[in-house]
Amino acid sequence: MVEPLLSGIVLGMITVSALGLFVAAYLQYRRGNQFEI
Amino acid sequence: MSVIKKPDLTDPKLRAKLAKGMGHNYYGEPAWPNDLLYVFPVCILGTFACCIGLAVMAPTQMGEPADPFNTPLEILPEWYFFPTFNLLRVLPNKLLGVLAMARVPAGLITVPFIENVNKFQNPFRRPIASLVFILGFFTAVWLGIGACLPIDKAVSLGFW
Repeated sequence: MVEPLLSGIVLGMITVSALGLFVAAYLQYRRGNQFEI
Repeated sequence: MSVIKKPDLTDPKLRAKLAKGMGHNYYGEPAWPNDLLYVFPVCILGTFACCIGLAVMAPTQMGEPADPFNTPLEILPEWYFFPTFNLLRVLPNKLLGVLAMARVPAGLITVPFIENVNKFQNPFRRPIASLVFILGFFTAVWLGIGACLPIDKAVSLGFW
């Protein structure tokens, strides 16, 4: 049985998590090394 | 957020690690108050809000009683088994299906051994690892959605 609410929660969480990972990683990638060591 | 603490850059141990390009949240950023005060409550309260909200707005319904002598026409496992379930369903040979499922943990076991081929941690600095992740991720979601559809659309999702 496919439960629409559960499917929405799962698909939504999956996409938002993966997107968040890459956005945060890109911000850190762009920021670079600020310590100058 | 003026209370956020910066890493102690006068610490020679931390400077040595940073000089090697090893800057990391584990030893760079202080846990208190940055994580414990500003991040943990957000996760805790968010989880509470989701659980209580769902329990009030969409409580679990009673399902059909189980009948051991009557297999339902449409069977589906829990959602996290959808991709592997679809693999088993689609592959014509059961041994092939089991091998395809065993490939997932077998691939994960190799990760610790080949992880440090590239010393960077940021996904944008490890293109091959990121590509493997994105491909596997996309395949898993695709197969997972296919598991909910009839067998003739299980791989194509009705697109072709």
